[in-house]
Amino acid sequence: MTGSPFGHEQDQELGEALKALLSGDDEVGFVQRVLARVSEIPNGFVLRLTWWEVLGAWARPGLVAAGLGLALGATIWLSGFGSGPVQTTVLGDPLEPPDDSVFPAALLAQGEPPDLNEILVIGLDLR
Amino acid sequence: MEDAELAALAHAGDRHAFGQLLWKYAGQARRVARTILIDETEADDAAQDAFLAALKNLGRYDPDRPFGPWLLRIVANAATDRHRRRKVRSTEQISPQARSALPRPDQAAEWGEFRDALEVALQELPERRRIAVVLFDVEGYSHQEIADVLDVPVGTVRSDVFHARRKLREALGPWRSAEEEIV
Repeated sequence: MTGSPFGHEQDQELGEALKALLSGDDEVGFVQRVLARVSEIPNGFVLRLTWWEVLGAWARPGLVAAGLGLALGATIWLSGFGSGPVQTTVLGDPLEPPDDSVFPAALLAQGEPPDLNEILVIGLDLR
Repeated sequence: MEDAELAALAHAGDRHAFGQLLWKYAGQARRVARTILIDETEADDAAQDAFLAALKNLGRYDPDRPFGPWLLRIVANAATDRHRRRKVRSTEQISPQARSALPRPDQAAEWGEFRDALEVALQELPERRRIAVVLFDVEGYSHQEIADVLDVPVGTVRSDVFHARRKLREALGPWRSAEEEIV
């Protein structure tokens, strides 16, 4: 017990004294006692608990995932099958030359930086 | 085998895996329970309750975190609950007079006397400080792990360990002086 109370390391001497004071005598007896109590619990209890816990744990994320799936499916159905031919994506393919020279994807594909006025025209929708 | 793996197996119903965890943590659990309850029999009952509660709640254990603090938190809760439920008799409380009745330090510093003094000093500490110093100096847990066990900020644990150590050293000072004189 020679270390400082401020010390951030174990005080070995105090620790050993406390350990000797607090340690029970018959550890084997204690373990056997607990194991005997555990054996009184039917095996199925733990398994049944697990089953319910698993269901309970999955219930909320499962419902959320199902809802998201339904919403996504409905969106695809409405936008895809409900509106005729497939629409071009907003940005298009940056590797394909677009029809409109000020299309954003075309700006990205250009070797030189775009003119600020072109960006402002797109951003403010002044076309 | 790692604790998390054993816990997963025990949770799935493997009693042998639970037995391994029990053997590994029995000593710590009993000491922590005894730190709170003092009485050895009651402490063992609380530790046993805690192990059974842990077995039933293994599904709530996060395998990414260390098993020891999780278990010891259950132990501390079980012991504290038992401590609060029992009707504390006045004779069980340590009075200041009891401490002064201890053998004087100039008498032979037998281990039994030292042990009595240590026990009295420990009982005089507030419960949380007792647990903090035992988990730190006896069981070797970090401040952060102890904070997880006690559900308090790390700074509080540091303060608890500091104050508990100072108090214990003060109480055991006469024995230390006697030992130094003998040497």
